[in-house]
Amino acid sequence: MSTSGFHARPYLGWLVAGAVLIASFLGYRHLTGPAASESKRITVLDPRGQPSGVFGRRGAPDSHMMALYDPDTHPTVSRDELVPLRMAPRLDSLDNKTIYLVDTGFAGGKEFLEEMQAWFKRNMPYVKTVLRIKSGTPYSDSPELWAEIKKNADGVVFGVGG
Amino acid sequence: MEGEYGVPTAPIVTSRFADYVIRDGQSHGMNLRWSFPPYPVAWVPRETLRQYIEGDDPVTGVKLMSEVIDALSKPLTQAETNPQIPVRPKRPRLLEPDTEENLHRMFLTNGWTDGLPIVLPTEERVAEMLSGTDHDPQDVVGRMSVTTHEEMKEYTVEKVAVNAVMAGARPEHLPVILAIASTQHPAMPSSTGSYGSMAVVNGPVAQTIGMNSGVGAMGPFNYANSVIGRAWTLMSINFGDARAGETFMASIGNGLSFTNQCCAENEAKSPWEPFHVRKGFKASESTVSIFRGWNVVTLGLGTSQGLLQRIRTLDSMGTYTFVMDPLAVKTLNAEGFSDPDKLSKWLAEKSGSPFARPEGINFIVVGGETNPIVHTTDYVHYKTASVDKWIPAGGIKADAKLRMPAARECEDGLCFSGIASTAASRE
Repeated sequence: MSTSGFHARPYLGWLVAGAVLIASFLGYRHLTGPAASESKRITVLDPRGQPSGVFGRRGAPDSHMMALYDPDTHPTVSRDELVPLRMAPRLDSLDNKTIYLVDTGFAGGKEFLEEMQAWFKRNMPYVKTVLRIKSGTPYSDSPELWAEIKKNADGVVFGVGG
Repeated sequence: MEGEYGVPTAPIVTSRFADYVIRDGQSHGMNLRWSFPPYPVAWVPRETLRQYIEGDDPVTGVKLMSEVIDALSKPLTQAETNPQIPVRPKRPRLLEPDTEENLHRMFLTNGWTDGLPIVLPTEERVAEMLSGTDHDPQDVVGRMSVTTHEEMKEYTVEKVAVNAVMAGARPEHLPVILAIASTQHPAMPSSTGSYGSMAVVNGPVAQTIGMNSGVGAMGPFNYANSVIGRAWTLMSINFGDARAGETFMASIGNGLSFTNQCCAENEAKSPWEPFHVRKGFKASESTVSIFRGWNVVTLGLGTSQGLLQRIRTLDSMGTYTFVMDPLAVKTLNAEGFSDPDKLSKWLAEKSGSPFARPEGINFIVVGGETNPIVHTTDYVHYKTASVDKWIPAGGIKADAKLRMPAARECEDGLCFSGIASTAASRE
């Protein structure tokens, strides 16, 4: 029935075909709409924080290790107070020198430095090594040990961080 | 040692941390002479350590002991004699305009997200977010770093709003997010042990913004809980400068870090005073409390002996936070522990741990009373911060319709008859 009707009115076929074309075009526009907007440039804000000029620093000798993880107790130093580290003069050689091996407190450090001490005995017996375990936490100051090193040592090996 | 005491030094760090310590040292103006053995050095046989010492530094390819000897005796170079402290440039407020697709790619590939899709912080969206507070957008909220020594990043109210938009939050969530930011605590400090964090909201704001404190409170079933917790993670990445393997060294990482166990305390169901009241705030004040640790042990049932047993078995530095279903608290209440401070004291005394202190043992009441469940954690309570100071004078304008389905309360099976119709309405 409809087929015969279509044949009976061929212009209707052209009308339908035209409507399909227009609809397709509109559909295409609809589909391409988001793509067109995707190519539009937009402005967004930077999510990153600004450099503050404030750094963390080592804790006081008796400070709790977790103090460094609490902003209320975390010791800090500002860029203005921070002085570039002046390196100490180096030794001419290690011959007959005293070298402190300081375990900073991380797991395995003491055993590692004991093996290093044994290496010196085997390979450089003329170097005197002294093994010390740093008091406090790996992040805290140890002024007594530093004073002892200043008095007795020619050089220091610190380890083992990680 | 080098500068103050004038003693030459040879620092040793495992090669896994080479990049970390070199960059950290240089940012402080220190050109230290590092040596890097292979790793790990902890819990390995002596023979392995001997091989490390007699072998090469895997970073430089030079014999480790030659490096150590050179570190102490080789003459200083020009750069070592005149170290500089680099000044990092200020970042722009606005990024270069680009297409949405390119900006999404840039945020993702630059590591400014948590890997999940974000909402781009356009000027319009950030301006709308800022309607959630009266504070000046350029007010400095704090500074943060996931490391212990690197330069901290400073952030303003506007920067917090930017990260809140990215997390998918709405202006009604901003006061809580600002309160978290004001603590300056990153959710993920760089610990090889992989921290987990928790943010617990108390006071009227929890209800105003529709937070969940009942069934599944720490799960993905509540809009406010999810986006507030996620914003904390994004702030930790973008303000704390968390970059995996560079500044962030958590060996395994922690799945809790995506939304940080963010929830409200179930004050209505708890027989105890709310947590923030026990920390000196009024019940009418709104706060957020920050907790952090490494261990979360689930599926304990709440009796005082049960808590004691878990304290004795959990490897902790003396701090414990119990996250307890109200039913567990009611059990403890019936045992005579109507005052949680009394329970903290009892547990510290009975624990046998030299580190346990009453003030280090805390309790949070969360859950929907499906069982007297207790989560035992080694979390430290770090801070309780005011939310009220960030709420606009006109109050929070919450969109009460923009909510996920609320957790159904089915006490005594009274809502059983409504199950079918409710289930159908959600399909």
